[in-house]
Amino acid sequence: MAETDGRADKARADKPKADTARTDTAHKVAAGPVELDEVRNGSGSPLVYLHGEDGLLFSGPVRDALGASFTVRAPEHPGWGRSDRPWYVNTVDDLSYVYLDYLDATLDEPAPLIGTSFGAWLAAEVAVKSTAKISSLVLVAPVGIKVADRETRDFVDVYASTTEQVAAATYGDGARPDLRALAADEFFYLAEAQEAMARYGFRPYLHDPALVHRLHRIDVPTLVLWGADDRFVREPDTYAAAWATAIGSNAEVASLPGGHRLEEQSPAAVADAVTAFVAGTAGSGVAGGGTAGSGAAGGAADMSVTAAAR
Amino acid sequence: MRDIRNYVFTEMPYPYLPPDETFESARVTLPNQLYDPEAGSELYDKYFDIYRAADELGLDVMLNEHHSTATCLDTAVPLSAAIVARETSRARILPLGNPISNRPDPVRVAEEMAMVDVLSHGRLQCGFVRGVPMEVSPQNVPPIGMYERFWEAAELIVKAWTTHDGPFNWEGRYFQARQVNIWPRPHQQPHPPIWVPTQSAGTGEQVARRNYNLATILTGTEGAARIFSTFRKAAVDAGFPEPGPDRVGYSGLMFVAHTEAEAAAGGEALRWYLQHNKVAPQFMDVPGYLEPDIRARILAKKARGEEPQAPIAHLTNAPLSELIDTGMFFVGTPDQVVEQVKAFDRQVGGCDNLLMMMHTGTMSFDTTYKSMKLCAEEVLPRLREELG
Repeated sequence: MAETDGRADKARADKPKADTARTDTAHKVAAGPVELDEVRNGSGSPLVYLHGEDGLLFSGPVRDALGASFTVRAPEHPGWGRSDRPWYVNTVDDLSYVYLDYLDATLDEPAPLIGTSFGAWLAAEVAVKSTAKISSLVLVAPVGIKVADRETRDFVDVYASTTEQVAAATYGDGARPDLRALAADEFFYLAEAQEAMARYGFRPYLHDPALVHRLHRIDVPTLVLWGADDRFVREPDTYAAAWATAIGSNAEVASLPGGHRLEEQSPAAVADAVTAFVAGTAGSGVAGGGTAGSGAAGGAADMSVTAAAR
Repeated sequence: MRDIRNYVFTEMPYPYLPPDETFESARVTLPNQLYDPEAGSELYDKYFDIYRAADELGLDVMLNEHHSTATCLDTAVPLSAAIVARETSRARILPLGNPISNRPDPVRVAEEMAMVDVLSHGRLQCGFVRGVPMEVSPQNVPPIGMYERFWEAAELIVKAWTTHDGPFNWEGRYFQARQVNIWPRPHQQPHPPIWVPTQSAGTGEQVARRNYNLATILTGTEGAARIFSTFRKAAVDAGFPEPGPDRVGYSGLMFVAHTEAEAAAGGEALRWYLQHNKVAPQFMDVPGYLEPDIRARILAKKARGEEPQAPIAHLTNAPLSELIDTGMFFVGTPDQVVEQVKAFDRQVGGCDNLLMMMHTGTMSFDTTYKSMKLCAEEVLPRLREELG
């Protein structure tokens, strides 16, 4: 086990673990020198789910829905829950190497990789390094690239906004979780999750300046999926198109009704879109195959394909 | 005889603000169109006149810095400390402190403080401070790992101060430095005394383990007693002699007057400081700044619709007598203030270094001067005598 941050270790040792929204028990998985907690749902061929800002706290429904078609493997990133965070893991780039190890350790064959918001950023950072264990990629409301000019943030600054402003930006007019229902250990989980986001996303704010220039390396079919009512991203259409353009011919963009937390607000529709996209890419999406997914969105009736990269 | 000192402090506020209800936050977001540079020049004159007068009266000087805020116009303690160093001749100068979790280059801090120490002929008392959460946005420093950066920076600064045989290199977790070889080196040997302010007993333990000096700010008598006690015990546990009262400092607010009526008026004037510190909650509760178990309780409160309050919010409208009884304020005639400080001193196990805010708001130079003069001439001599 890697040398971890002393304070986080102490805090974890003292505190109970939050089990909210977990429909299965956590497994310990060695990702190189780092040990991650992983939650599994469903059955079928594997699909790896990289959680967003709030960890696994509110993603139970979408992982359950995906579990109808896949064995969903959802590791907790270093800094969230009980996963190790070695002291030298401080950036999303650092995290991506943990996940390259994780994919090598857990998958015999390439599998679909899905990430939401921060998890989508992380998935992209992994995919630009190697798609050897990634058959297709679904980026749900990704953050992580810089599009607007130097005096304009691409996202609402959560560090300069009230709790209500953050919630309104994140969820729009749609459903949002009732935080009053959380137990004390779940608030602790959330506090650690927000601390982890401050570590990985404070400066530069929710992006890696180099990432956009590396996205062309993604050589598996990629779906960039947006909430039509995303208010966390300043200009969601422009931002999504920038992702697709940077990735190139392997990417397509689609949107679904919902806000930035699309997977929380429309879990069934997201699961349908992912399942259809993965089915549509089967056969063409072998590792390093590099062919565009065609007709990927066919299975989801309410999904509109809004843009396709060249 | 114990060397009881008072380090006079003004936070150098910009007091000409519209009513609180017309703006969201005095910190971080208040547009500086509300700042009149002409008035600002006069304010700096007044603030540095207060410090020069403190020196002439036999008092010492404390400074601090903040950023993007009307509550404090001192934006860089190396600057104000350098000014005070040249404008005074005998006062100790205590910047409390240099925000070394936020400063990108500790070697630069070592150089600046060495220069102030030499400029002042060895009168620097060097504070290092982690910084309040409201500094996180203006300084754009990650609110995580602040103490880890803090201690590594302090260690690098001390090494830079005490290395005299040519350059060394530093490749730490948080800081890297090349050919560290500062000129000038500090006047005091082996280096200026180091002070760390905190409101937490846990940090007090860390300070003790490094054999630095400890200050607490507005914790009240009870809080100071607890933190000082932890500090003294941790020092002994770490193998150092038990720190005496000269190793701790306490920051409250002080006004001394000839009559009780004048004193009460001065005490009410000091209340300005408590009442003019409006901060938007998002700049106070910054993820990562507090331990997650503490933040978990804040998040639970937020979920119920309660936003976090400034730590001193509950004091805003407390009766003056309560502020005095709890050790936040030291206000009265010289006799009364002597008794208040003696009671505080007894309850906290001895504290030689008073770090008293003696000016705030629109309080005039003359009003401040009279209070400082009584402190210097009638309070401190008696404290030295009676506590000695």
